[in-house]
Amino acid sequence: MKNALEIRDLSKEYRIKGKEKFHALKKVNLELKAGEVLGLVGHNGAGKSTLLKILSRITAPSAGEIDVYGRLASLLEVGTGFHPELSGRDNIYLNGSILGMKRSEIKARFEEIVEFAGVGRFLDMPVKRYSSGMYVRLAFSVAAHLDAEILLIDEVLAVGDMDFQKKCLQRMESLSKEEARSIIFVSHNLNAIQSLCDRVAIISEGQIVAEGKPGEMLSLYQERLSTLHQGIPAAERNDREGDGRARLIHCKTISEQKQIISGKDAELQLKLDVKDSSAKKLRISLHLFNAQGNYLSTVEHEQELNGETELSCKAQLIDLPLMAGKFFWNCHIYLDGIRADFLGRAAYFEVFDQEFQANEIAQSRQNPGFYIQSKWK
Amino acid sequence: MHIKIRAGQLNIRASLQELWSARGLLLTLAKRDFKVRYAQTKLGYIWALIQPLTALAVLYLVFQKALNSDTQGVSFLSYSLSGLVIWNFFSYNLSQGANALIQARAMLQKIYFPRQVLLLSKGLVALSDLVIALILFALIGYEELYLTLWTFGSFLLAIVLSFLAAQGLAFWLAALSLRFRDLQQVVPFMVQMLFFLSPIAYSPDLWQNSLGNELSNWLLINPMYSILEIWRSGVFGLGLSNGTLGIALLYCSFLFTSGWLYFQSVERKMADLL
Repeated sequence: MKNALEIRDLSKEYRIKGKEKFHALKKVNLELKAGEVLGLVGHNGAGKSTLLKILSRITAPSAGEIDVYGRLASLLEVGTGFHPELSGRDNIYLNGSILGMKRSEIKARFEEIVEFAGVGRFLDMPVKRYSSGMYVRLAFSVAAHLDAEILLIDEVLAVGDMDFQKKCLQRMESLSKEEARSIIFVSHNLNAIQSLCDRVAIISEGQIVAEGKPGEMLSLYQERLSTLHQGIPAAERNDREGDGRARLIHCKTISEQKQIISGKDAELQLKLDVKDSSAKKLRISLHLFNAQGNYLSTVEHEQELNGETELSCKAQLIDLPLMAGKFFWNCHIYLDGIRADFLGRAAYFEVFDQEFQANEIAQSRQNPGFYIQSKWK
Repeated sequence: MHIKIRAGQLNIRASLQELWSARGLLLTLAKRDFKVRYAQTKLGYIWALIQPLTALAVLYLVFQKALNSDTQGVSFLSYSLSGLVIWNFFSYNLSQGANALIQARAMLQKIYFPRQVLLLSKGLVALSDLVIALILFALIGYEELYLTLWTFGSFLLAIVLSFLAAQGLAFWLAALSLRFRDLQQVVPFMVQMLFFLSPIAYSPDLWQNSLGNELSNWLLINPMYSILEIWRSGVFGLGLSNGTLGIALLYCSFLFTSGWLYFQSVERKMADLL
């Protein structure tokens, strides 16, 4: 089969402060066959975005070669280049031509674009008056009707409501199956990757570490993910966001029993360094995810500060309503309303069954959800 | 179609081809600017008239009433309006062009298209203002016009030369301002200085008389100096000194070519600098 895209020994360095260099990509080799949907997975900072940016020519590689056989269009973020003051109609033309379509091509597909987005009645209204849903639908619709043989799609499915997400997935499927487009698809939505892709490549620290069938690759990826940052104490991690006025230095979920058990109390322990002694208000927001990376819930805490530099707090998690499986917390710390620290996968913990439930919910361990205590009469 | 992506190098032919294929985008961007410009204003396109008229009134008060400046035998209003017509075209190209990249920051990080169209499209928007100002000029100065074939020639030259000069400078400034954000502060200041140094509401003789020939030659660094002289030789039949035309052509082409080449050579690093 012919190749749509060939990447040979692609590297990209960024210079950070003076002579220090950061290698975002290291000798990446990858091929995309014509008509194939290739999924690209990797955690934040693995090099996915850099790769897509180079492929879409937003930034230049430091070394290596890429050959693209056909027109390539990228949907790195839908709606870029939309102008709020212009009507939906004008924005379709504007966005279409920014994305590389000719006026005649846009004209030919205009009806289709409008119908897909379902904004027919509002075509002549400035898009600043659109609801965010309408805005996103229109933006995706323009991008999804591009006449390119090769499409780069990044996280666009993270937008819009469920119905529209479904529609987008269907559109992508028909693009690849019926119209034989070649697609590189990047998403954190592993279900979407599984159902759409013919092949999956895992990227980690700027290198393609594995590629193969979606099923195998996704379980390999989950395995890698479940241990990502695991065992590194919060205080020693540098992959943070926020302005640094505070740092999470300790985060742990424990229980009075030997193990954390479904439906029994557990305790969350946190320790923070506060560098800004003038801060008045602290807010801690902990986002709970299961091992699959599905968001489940948020726990929040707010308190006044009086110049403390180190702070410990504990929270009792009453009757922990989680099924057996692995979970982790993402931790956000805000001082006076501005994010001071963010640590993804700040702490992992595993929840175990109460014995009598051991077999019934064993299959849910891969993707555990809430545990509902029930009393039957 | 086969696109090769290689580690960054300037490829002049590819840049020109890209520009040609992005001509539709050039038009669309200009249309966007044009439509958005007076969106939600009550007076709309009347602003395109109000602006040169107010400028003219202020110039009249300062240069005519207060300073009684010499305008080479042409009535003050026609003389200074003829200057403003070309000056506004030049300064719009320069100031909007120099800002175009920073303004489109979000797009630069997300989509690829030849970045030069962001600047070049400003020229089209400036043209629309030019047409309106030109009609105003024709109405106010029709009695003093000295219409010959050279009038049209000088007009075309003035437009082309001020476009080349302004865009050339804008290419330099826009590309450099990504690395040195200080330039953003410099641009409005520079435009203002150039305004006073350009013989818009006064005769260039003023400099020759006060500074002497040698010193006043330095003022030719400002491309508008010769451009205005060329344009006025066409509309009012005023004299054109030897060599002005040739030097202006060379100088403006140099500004444009050097700016364009520099811009193209850093184009692919732009997203990393934002």
